[in-house]
Amino acid sequence: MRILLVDDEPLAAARLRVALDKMDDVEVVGSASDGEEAGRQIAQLDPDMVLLDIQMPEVSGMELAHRLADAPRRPELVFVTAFNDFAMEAFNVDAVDYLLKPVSFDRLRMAIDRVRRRRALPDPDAFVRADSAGTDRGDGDQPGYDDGIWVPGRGGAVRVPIEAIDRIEAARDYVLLNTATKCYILRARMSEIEQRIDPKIMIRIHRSHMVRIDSVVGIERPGKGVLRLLLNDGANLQVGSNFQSNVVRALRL
Amino acid sequence: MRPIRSAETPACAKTRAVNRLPTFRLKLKGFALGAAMTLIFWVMVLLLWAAQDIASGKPIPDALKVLQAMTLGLGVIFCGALAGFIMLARRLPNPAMTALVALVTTALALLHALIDAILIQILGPSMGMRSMPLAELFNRSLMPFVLIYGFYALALGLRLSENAVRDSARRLVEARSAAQGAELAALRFQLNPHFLFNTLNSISSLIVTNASAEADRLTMRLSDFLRLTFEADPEAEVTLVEEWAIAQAYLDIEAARFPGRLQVTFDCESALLDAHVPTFLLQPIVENAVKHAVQTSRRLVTLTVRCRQVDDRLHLMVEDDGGRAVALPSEDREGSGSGLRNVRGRMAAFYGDDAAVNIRASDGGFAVELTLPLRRAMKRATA
Repeated sequence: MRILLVDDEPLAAARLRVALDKMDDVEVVGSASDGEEAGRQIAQLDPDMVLLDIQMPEVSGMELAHRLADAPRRPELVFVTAFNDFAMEAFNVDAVDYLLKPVSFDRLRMAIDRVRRRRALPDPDAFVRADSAGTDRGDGDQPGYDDGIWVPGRGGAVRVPIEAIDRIEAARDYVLLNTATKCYILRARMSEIEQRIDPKIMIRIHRSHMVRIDSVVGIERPGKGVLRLLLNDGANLQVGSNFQSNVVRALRL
Repeated sequence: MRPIRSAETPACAKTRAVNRLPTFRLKLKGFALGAAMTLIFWVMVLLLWAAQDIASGKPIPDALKVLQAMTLGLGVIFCGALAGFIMLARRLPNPAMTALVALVTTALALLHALIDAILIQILGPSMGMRSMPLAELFNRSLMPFVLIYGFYALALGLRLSENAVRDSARRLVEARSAAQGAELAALRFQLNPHFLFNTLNSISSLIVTNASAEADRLTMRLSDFLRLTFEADPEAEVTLVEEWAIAQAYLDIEAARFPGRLQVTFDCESALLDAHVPTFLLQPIVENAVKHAVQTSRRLVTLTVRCRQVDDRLHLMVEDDGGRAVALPSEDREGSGSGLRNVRGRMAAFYGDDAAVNIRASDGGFAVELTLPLRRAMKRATA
């Protein structure tokens, strides 16, 4: 995985470099300190992935993403910023992921894995369309529940099938649908989403988290009355106290 | 932020407990005043009624005195009951309340007229009045009593509604000042989340790159900044040197985040260091300068803070030479953050028309000039 590092703060870039240097399968091919320079580096180096800060002098990370949107071939973009006030905009320019500083090294790993899986597919967004075409036929089996969720994106919408979603995360006034290859953003409330999804497939485990039952790979009980779930993407989520009995029943613990 | 909030709670509770006693006393005073007014009202009514008898100069028969005394006592009691009823009925919706009060007033007037008629029938002969049937006596007393009670109810209603208006005006003023207090308190918490997380990110970076001394220094500066921010009272004034300490801690951190991009000059006569300024006066301005000049520029930006005394006024100038790297008209820069709006609001709240905020944007950079009354700590102590 060839990565370009873009941040105008030397300390922030240095921190990410330390994390990336520890990963065997990753190579930092270059770095840039503003959007303009990053654009030149991308054209020159053709990286697989760009870790992109948003607030930078002159050309911001967001502006660069908009400029790249029409490029025939572009690297996968992962935004790295201090606060989540740009998340909605970030996913609208087709970012694969959105990381918050200081980024935990595990979370960074998760984003890189996501990009890797995406890169391995011939057409990264195709599975979504193909799957949704297939699942449409099954609508009659489960009346009342959706098989997929329509997510508006650049120039249209894609249908993300429920079985592709590992977990759903609520943030402010939107939700994030985390799949193996990308994170999708949707302006919706968690309670609305929960009603549309078959509880045999995905369950609510927290005020701001839903997980697909199949994606749970382990549980932890670090203390009395505390339950945590380990997911296949490496996420480690605490179960809310109001949701514990539900989770225990659904997972047959 | 939590410790501050919890620290404020006991203070609030205390104020409330202290307030309770005067309210009770106020109610007692209101009651006594109301009773006295009612008594005076009835004495006046009776004087008017007996005016003819008094003017005639003839000795007033004992029976009439008894009658008058009975009317007075009953009147005061009935009016007390009416007042109590009106106080209770005030909570009802308006049309129902008016109808109910009118009904009760009329009923009381009729009852009093009836009692009066009975008394006159009993006592009349001893006052040399010819005896009359009760119905006729009642008929004669009816009108005066309805008028008397109607007048009383009306006067009381006016008085109460005047009180209500005054109450609501007072509450409005209280709410307004509470809102202002909340705004000022919010200002203290107006910690920019970007700043906080970016600083933590910088510290983490220094840790993972083994620059522990630098990590420690930055942690200390962040602690200084947070402590000064939390400890300061947004409704109070501080000395200029104290205000500058907050800004300095902040700017030191930003200088570490943007090496080679921020340089700070503080140019102030030592005599002005103990001048009084509102807390957090400079902070929004320097934050603005970092946000709009330093973060948008790749070269070194110099931020200059100047203080001058001109006659009896303090001039504070915060200036940057960041140019206009991003084409932002001055209105945009002003509107982009609540920062400068806050500065204007606080200057107005503290000094009214006695202060001025001037903002200048040029190709060279951005300048904010504050003019405020000069008051020094020493001067105030001796005054």
